[in-house]
Amino acid sequence: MEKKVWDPSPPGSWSFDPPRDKDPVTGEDMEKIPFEEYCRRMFDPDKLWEKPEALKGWRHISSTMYILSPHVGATLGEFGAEVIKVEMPKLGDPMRHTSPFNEAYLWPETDHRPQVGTGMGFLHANDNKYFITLDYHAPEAKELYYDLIRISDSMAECYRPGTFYRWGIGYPQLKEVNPRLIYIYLGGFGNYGPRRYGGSYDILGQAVGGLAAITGWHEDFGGHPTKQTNWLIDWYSGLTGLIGVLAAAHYRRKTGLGTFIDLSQISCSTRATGYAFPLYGRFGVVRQRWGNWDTLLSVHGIIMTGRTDDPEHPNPQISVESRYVMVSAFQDDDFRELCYIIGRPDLWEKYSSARERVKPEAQIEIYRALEEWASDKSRSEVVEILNNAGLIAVPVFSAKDVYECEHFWERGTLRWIDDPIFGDVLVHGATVKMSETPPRVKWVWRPIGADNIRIYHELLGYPLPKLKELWEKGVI
Amino acid sequence: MVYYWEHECGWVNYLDPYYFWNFEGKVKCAGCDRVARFKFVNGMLLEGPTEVDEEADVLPLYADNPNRGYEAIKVGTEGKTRPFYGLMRDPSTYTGKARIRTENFRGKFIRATPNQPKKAGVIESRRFAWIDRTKSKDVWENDDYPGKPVYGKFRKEE
Amino acid sequence: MSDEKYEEKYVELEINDVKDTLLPRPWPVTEPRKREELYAPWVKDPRDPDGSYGEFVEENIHYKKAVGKPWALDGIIVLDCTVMGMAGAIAASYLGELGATVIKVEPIEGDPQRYWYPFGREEYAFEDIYTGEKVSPTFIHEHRNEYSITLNLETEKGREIFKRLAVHADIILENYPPGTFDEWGIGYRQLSRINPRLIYAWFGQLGQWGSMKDRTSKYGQWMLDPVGLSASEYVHSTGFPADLLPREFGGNPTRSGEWVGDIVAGVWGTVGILAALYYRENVSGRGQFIEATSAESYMEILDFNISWYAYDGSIKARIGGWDPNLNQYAWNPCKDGYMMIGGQSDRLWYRILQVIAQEDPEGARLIAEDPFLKEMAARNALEGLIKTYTVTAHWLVNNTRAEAEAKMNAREVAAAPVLMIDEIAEYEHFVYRGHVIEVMDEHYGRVLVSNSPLAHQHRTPARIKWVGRPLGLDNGEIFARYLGIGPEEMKKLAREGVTTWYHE
Repeated sequence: MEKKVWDPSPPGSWSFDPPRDKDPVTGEDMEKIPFEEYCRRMFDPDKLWEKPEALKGWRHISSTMYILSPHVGATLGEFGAEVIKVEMPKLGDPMRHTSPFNEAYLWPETDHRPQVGTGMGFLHANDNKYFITLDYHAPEAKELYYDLIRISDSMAECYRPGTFYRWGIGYPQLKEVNPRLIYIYLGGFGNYGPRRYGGSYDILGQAVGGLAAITGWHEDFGGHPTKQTNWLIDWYSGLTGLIGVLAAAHYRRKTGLGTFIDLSQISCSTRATGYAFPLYGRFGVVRQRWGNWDTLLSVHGIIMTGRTDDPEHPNPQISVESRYVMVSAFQDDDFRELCYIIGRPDLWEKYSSARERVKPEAQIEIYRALEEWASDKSRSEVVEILNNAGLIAVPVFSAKDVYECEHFWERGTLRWIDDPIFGDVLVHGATVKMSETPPRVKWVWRPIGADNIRIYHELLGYPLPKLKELWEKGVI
Repeated sequence: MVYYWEHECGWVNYLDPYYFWNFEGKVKCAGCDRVARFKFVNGMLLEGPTEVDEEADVLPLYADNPNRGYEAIKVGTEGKTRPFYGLMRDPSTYTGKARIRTENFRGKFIRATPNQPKKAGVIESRRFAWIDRTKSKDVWENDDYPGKPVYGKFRKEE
Repeated sequence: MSDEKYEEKYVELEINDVKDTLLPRPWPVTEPRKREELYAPWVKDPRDPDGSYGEFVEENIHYKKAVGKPWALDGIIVLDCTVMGMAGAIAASYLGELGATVIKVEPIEGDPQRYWYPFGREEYAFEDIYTGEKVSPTFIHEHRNEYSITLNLETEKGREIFKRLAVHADIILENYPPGTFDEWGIGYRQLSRINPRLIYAWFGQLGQWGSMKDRTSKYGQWMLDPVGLSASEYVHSTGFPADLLPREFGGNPTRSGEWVGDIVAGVWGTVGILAALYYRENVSGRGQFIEATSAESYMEILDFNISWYAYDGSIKARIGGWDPNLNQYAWNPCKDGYMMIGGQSDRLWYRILQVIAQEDPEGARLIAEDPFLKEMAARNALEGLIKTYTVTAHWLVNNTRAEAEAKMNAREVAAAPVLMIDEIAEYEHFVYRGHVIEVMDEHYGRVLVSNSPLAHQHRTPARIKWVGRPLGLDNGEIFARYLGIGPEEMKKLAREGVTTWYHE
C-alpha cells in the first residue's frame, strides 16, 4: 500500500477525527457502547497528555496579586496559554504568605530567602505560570513591559484604577503599543464611579455585593450572615472575567481589535443573588437569609443527624462535625415517600402541594420532623435508608470524604502531580471536562523570579549582561 | 470593658463577638476562676459583669495577661478556656514549635526545609522591610541614611 | 426614567399579611451624583492628577456608552435545553449577554423554574402584560437575552425537529440526567455526526460518569444544587462553628443562600465552551463534548482544602464570618448590622489599629503591645483571630456601619458594610455603575435586575436586552427561520403535542 504523506486520521488521534465511529485505540464501535462507557473514554483522564491544548500560542501577562486576577491567568494557563506572572522583585505576591492558620507552606519562595516558604493560599491561582519580576516604578520598567505586551494576547491587572496609567502602562497607552491586546482590570469597585479608589477583597465583595445578605441562618433563628468558604467571589469573578476575555478573543478574530474589560467583583456577587433584585424592585420585598433550607423547593436542604460514623476519630471534624446530610425530595412522590419513611404521613397530608411545602412555617415543621427522625441515626444510616428507598440524599463531605471518594479520582478531578520544584502535591485537575482539549495542571507555582532568564533572555532576547545590570539596579 | 473583660486579677478574657452577641449567663474568668454574670443584647452590655458564686455556663475562648508580657491561656485549656472544634489537629503547629516536614500525607517527599530560626520571631512567619523602619521620617528620607534601599544595592539580611 | 410616576415615596404601612408588603418601590430613591460632580475641577485627586484617565474611562468604558457597540459573540447560536438547574441558565445568559443568539428549548409545560416562587408565594409572580401569564422572579432574572421555544423532546417528532435545529447550532447546553439525550438519539455522539462543529456542554452536580454520577430518585426527581456543594466539602467548611455560635442558633455547616454551585459550574462551563470555540475557530474546526459539574467546579474554588489535607491531613473547619488565612479579614457585628474590615499587611493592620485607638485606646493597646500579634503571618493563628476580632467588635458595637466605613476609608482601609438587598440597590456607587439596573421589558414592564459583570468594556460590552421570556414566545420566529416551519405546520405540530402555538 502506498504510504500517505499526511494521514488525516492517524491512529490514536483524538482530535481530528470526530465523529468517532471507532475507538482510535481498540477499534471498538463507539456508537454501540453504553453511554457511560462512551463518556469514560471521551473524558479519560489517562489520555490527558495525549490531547492538544485549546489555547496553544496564546500569551497572557498577569500583573496580578491575590486570587481574583491571577485566576484569569491560571485558567488560561490550564488551557494551554503561556502565562507570565509579573511580581515585585523580592517581595512577590502578598498571597504567597497566606496560609490557613499559618500552617502549610512549601519551600522555597525565592533563592535569596531559602528559609521562607510560600503558603498554600497561593495554590491554584498561579499554576502553569512563568514567574518574572519587574519593579514598575523603575524608569526602565516601561520599555520592558511594552516589549512583553507587544507579543501578548491579553493581560490582567488589579492595581487601583489609574495606577498603571500613571506608570505609563495603562490601557490608553498599551492599546497604541498593541491594538490586539485584551486588557482586563479586575477589582472591587471598578474604574469609574464615586468609590472607584476603594480597595477590595473577596470578603468585601461578598459583604457589599449581596451574597452575605442571603447566606446563613435567619436572624430569627439567632443566625448571622455567613461567609462563603474560601473566597468564592475572587475565584468566580476571575472566571467571569475570563469569559469576557475569551469572548473578546472571538471578536478580535474578525476585527483584529482587543478590548478593555473593567470587571468589578462586587458586581459578580450581585449577579449571584437570584431573584433578590426583581423581587425587591417589583414588590419591595427584601430577600433574607434562609439557612440550610431552600426558598424555592422543599424538601431540599441539609439536616443534622444524631451522630457521625466515626465518633472515636481524634479529629473533631470527623468525630463531631461529619454528621450532616443533604436531603432532596421536593417532588410530590418523593416527598410522600419521605414522609412515610420518617413516620410522619400527617406531614404529607398537610403539605401535599409543592407550594404549601415551601412556605416558611411548613419548612420549619418538616425539617424539624426530619431532624427528629434522624437524631438517633448516624450519617451513613440516614443516607442509606433514604437511598435504599430510592430518594436522593447525599452526605455532607469533609475533605477526608472527598479524598476518599473514588468518584473524583476516577474522573481525574483529584490528582497527584509531581511538581518539578515542590514534589508531590495534590491538586484539583481538570475542573471542566473537555473531550478534545482538557485543561491540565503542570506545576503549582515557582519561586519569585524563577523564570526571569527564560522570559527576558530566551523570549525577549535581552542579553544577559543587560539583565544583570537590571537585576543589580533592583528592577527585576 | 465588655468583650474583653479585664478582671481585677489582671487577666483579660476575650468574649468572642458572635457567641456573646445575644447572651445571658455566667462566664468564668480564665485567670482566677471567679464567675460573673453578663447580659448582652445585640452586642450591648445591659447587665454585668456582676460577680456571682455559682457554676459558670460558659468559658471564654482565650485570655491573656498584659501585665505578664501577654502570657496567654490558649484555646481549649482544660477548665480555663473552652475548646474549639475548628482547631486544627495539632495545636503546636501554630503556636511556635518548629515542624520539619519533608513528606506529605501519603508519605512522599515534598519540598520543605526547617522553619525560621527562633530569633526571627514566631515560627514560619516572614518579616517585612517596613516593620524594621523604626527611625523617624526625616531620618528615613534622608539620602545619607545608610539603611535606605537604593536601586542597585541589596541590603544584607541580618 | 420618568420620575413623576413614582412620586409616592416612603409609605408607612402596617404589615399584617404578605400582600401588604407588595408595594412597588421607586428606584433609585436617591440619584447618584453626576459625573460632572465626581470629576469636577476642584476634586483634585493625586491618583488621577489631570483627570485624563477618569475621562477616558467615563467616555469609553461606562456602561451607558455600551449602546450601539458591537457584540462579542455575534452570530453564535446556542441551544439551551437546560431546565431546573441554574448552571445552564447562567452559561446561557452570559453567552446571551455577550451577543450570542440563545434559544431556550423548553418542554411544553415550560421549565419548572418558571413556577418556583420564593416560599411558594404566587403573589411574587411577574405577569405578562399581554397575557397575564405568571412567571417566577427567578426565571426572569436568570434567563436574560434568551428566546423561548417549546419543543417536546419526548416525542419522536420533537427530536427530529431538534436534530434539524442542532444543525445550525454552535453550542448546545443540556442538563438532563446522564444519558437521557443519548438515549433519545440527540446526544453528543449522534449530533456530532450531523454537526461536527457542535460544542456540546452538559451540566450537572456530580458527573455523567463515575461511581457517584448524577442519578434520579425512583420517581424521577433530579439532583439539584446543593448536592454538588455538599459533595465538594463546601458545606462542611461554610458556616459558623458550634464554638462561636451554638448549633441551635445556626452553628452548623451552612449552604449558600443562592445556588452558587450551579453558578460556578455555569461559569466554568462557559469558560470551557469559549476555549473550545477558540480551538474550533483557530485550529480544528471541530466541536467537542464538555462536562461541568457543581461539585468539581466548586472544588476548584476550595483550592487548597484538599491539597492541605494531602499535605498533612488537615481538614478545614468552618469559621463563620472570619477567615483562617488572613487577619484582619472578616465581618463582625456592629451597631446596626455587620461590618467587614480587611487589612492584612502591617501597613493596613496598624491603620486599622489607629482608627480603633481613637475611641478604644485600651483595646488597641491589647493588640498593639502583644508580641504575638506583631508578625503578619503569626496573626492568622486562631488566638490571633479571636483576640483581634473581639477587640474590633468591641469598637464596632458603638459604631454604625456608615460611621465605621467612613472612619476606615479615611485611612484607605478596605472596609465595607454587609449590605442588605435594598441597600445594595440604593448604594450610590452601584447605581452609578449600573451593577443593578432597571430593564424595561416588553412583557413584564420595569424589572430591577443585577447587571452583567461584563457590562463595562471598551469594545464589546455585555448588555441585557430583555429578561426571561413568556413560554414559547418565539416559536413562530425560530421555527420559521431555522426550519422553514410556518404557522400551518406549527398548528399541526401543536395538535400532536410536539410544540405549542399561540392560540391552540
